[in-house]
Amino acid sequence: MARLDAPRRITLGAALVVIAAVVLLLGFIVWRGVQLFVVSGVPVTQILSPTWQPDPLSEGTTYGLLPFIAGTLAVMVVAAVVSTPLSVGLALFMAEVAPTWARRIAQPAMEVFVGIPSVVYGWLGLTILVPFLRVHFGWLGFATGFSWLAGSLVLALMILPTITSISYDAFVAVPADMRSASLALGTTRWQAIRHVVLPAAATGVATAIVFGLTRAAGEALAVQMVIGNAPVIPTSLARPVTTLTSQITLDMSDATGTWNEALWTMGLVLLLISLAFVLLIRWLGRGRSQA
Amino acid sequence: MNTPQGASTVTATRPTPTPLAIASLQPELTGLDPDAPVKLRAQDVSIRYGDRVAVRDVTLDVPEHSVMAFIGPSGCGKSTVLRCFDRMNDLIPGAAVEGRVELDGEDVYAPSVLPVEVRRKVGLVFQRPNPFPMSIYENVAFGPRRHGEQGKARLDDVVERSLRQAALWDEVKDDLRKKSGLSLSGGQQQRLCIARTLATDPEVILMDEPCSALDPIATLKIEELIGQLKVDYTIVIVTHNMQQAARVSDRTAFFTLGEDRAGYLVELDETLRIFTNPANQLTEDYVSGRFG
Amino acid sequence: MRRVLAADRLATAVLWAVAVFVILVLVAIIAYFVIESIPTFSLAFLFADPSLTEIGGIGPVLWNSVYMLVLTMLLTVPLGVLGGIYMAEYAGEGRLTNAIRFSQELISSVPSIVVGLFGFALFVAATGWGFTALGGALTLMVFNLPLLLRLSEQAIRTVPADERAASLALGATKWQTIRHAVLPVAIPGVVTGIVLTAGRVFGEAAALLFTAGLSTPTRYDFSNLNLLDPQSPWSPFRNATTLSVFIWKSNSEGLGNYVHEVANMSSMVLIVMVLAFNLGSRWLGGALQRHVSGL
Ligand SMILES: Nc1ncnc2c1ncn2[C@@H]1O[C@H](COP(=O)(O)OP(=O)(O)OP(=O)(O)O)[C@@H](O)[C@H]1O
Ligand SMILES: [Mg+2]
Repeated sequence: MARLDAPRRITLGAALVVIAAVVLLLGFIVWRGVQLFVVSGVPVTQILSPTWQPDPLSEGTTYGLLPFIAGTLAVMVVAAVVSTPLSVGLALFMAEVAPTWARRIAQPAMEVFVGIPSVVYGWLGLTILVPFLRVHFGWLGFATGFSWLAGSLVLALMILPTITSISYDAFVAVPADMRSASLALGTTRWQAIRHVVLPAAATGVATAIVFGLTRAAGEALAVQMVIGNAPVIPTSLARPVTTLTSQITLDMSDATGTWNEALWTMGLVLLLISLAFVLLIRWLGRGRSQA
Repeated sequence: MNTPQGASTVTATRPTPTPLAIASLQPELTGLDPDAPVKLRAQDVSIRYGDRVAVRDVTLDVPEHSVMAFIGPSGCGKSTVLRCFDRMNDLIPGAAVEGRVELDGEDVYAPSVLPVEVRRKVGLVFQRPNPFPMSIYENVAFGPRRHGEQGKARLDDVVERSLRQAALWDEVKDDLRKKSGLSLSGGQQQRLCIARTLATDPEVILMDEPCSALDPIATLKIEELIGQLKVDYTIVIVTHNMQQAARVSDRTAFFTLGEDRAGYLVELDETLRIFTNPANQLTEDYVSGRFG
Repeated sequence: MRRVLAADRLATAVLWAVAVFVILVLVAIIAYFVIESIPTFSLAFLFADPSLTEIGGIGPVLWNSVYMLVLTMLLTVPLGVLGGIYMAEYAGEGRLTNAIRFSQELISSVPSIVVGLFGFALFVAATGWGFTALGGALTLMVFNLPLLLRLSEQAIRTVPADERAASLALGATKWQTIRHAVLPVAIPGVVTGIVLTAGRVFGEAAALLFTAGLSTPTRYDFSNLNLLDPQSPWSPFRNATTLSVFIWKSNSEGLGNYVHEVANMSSMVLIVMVLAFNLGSRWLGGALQRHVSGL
């Protein structure tokens, strides 16, 4: 009996590695993330301060993470606002409008899009987008080109295939019956899309957007390369801002002591953000898993 | 009289379609009006899916305010012919219709005619009930709303009238807005789909095996409904159920598969005649259950 | 009626425009790298050492990318496929299964920089190894494992129930059934999953910054086969800057006279490699599929 169970135990062991990884990851990040408060005695409320003055040699050292949190959210939201119409439009195109030949081009194109590594997007932003903004939109305040908008545009491109492919799946999952029913009632194709397909796929599209937001919040290098890394509360799309990921990327190798601890706290905040997104995605998907 | 003689190359193996015998029937005996205007007409219609001919050389007339049944073995093209009357074949990639299809004497496939216009006059009830994932009310109001009706009182009116016509009103009137169309039973769903079609105020209703997913009681309800609807509408129904064809239709068209695997119209006649004294041996074999 | 038709036409036009725009952007990106790279590209670039004064090459970092890929997959594939078998064949509904699924979802959405921090805390600091290829590979495993687990599970689940039923009916045990009836059919899907996962290893950078290290290596001596010698290119206990990390690093530091050219060519190489993985996974999956169904 015990021998018969061996395969089951071995495969279970392999699956449990995932849980072990999560537990370790949560443990390490939470442990290192609270050092700022536990060891260095920085009051928890201080991280909500808008002032980031981590240099222990200067006066008025303050570990305010608000600029990073606000920057992360701001860059993420604008990226989603730019990307969603394009991605959902493209997904609708592939699912509802495209003739076969066009679908045969669009689908592999999406896979190529997914495959392009994030440093490449960052490099592209750095060599093309940033100079472009500086030269052509300098009059709008893009003094250097490094800006909130640059970060969001690069991210918009990066999350486009994510949102597209998940919403495409949601559209395709709407039964063909529904479309024929609408068309047979004498509606146009757009009316069928607008009043039948979109409502039926709404949760799926929402999930797709949340996946896109998740990726946008967590992307580090591409954003860091174009955003300008200024620890200020974002007020203008044309000005440099920063994000949690960028700051960790930049400072991690040099920062020591309390400064370093603050970076781990940023990691913890990122972890909490992604946890929130996971729960949101679960909540959105609850209807489907029950069905 | 309107056999597609010239149009087709009649092969020796294929029986020549029987001429329509409507003129020879005595009206007082059948209750059919020989002078009723033709509502739908197919003339030498062949339909292909890609390279494959699904049905060929179909010629038939459906007079106004009557019920015509399409019967025949599976795959002989009944649904295909049915769908060409409201241009639903347009949605299938590779489907092509040749010949002439008329609604009220006008070519349905003329370049100037929009499928949307045809489908507003010609409703289609599908084999499988397919209500939208919305409330009962929204299901029925869907068509009128899309066609520009926004007045609440008038929508309420259309919804109630259509549901009454489809014999569903009494069963659902208390939770029109609360209950999803999908939460109804199969038979109720099918009647909801019929109500949804009626609400768009069509002139013709096409039904593709509307009862195949239903129990006998629900089937009976729909059959009664068809009897009432023909006063105002012209109806074409596809069915595999001989009794049903006999019960609900005025005329019956029998299709079968030719040697070339394409379907064709064997015989079209008054229903009574098809079931008692058909002109063609194939029809006789089929209706008496000796087919295949 | 006319308004409705106009709306339909407008919507169709807009959707076409969106699609054309997005595809054009993609084509433009790829064309940009190809065009920018052509004047300076030579095969030697793939093998030469990096240089500050001339174009040099990406030999060592390319080697590191391949090395990390192999090492990561050696760690990930057995665990991922076995775990996938468990999830597809044994896992019931229950708290344990739920916990595994939740862990999968969580790791998939944790930013790779956070996974990198974790890798640093565990594989660099706690173990005392410092920045090593092994630490980097273990970190990459952490966030590739859930993906491979899911892809293998999906591949195994698509095996029709009759395959199983037939084997079980012949008196085979569950494991024999999995081993001889299910896995052979699922192999194409599993392989596709493996190759897709591998493609991600190539492109990843953020998780490696603080785990596999950032130093620019030169002059690898491939005859040094001592696996424990941090100088040996074969050793897992050495700094291993990959191509992706190299692109980021050379740009953020801006050192060297030819940063621009090197970054363009490296990007092109990276894109080509990842594309090759994508196409390769399709092709391999398809070929295996034919092979399996031909049996
Ligand atoms: N969407 C389609 N694409 C390709 N071929 C089709 C399509 N629909 C039907 N056909 C083919 O056309 C022929 C006629 O099909 P049709 O559905 O009209 O038959 P039917 O008489 O309605 O059969 P049934 O009684 O089974 O519903 C069949 O051979 C079928 O394979
Ligand atoms: Mg049919």
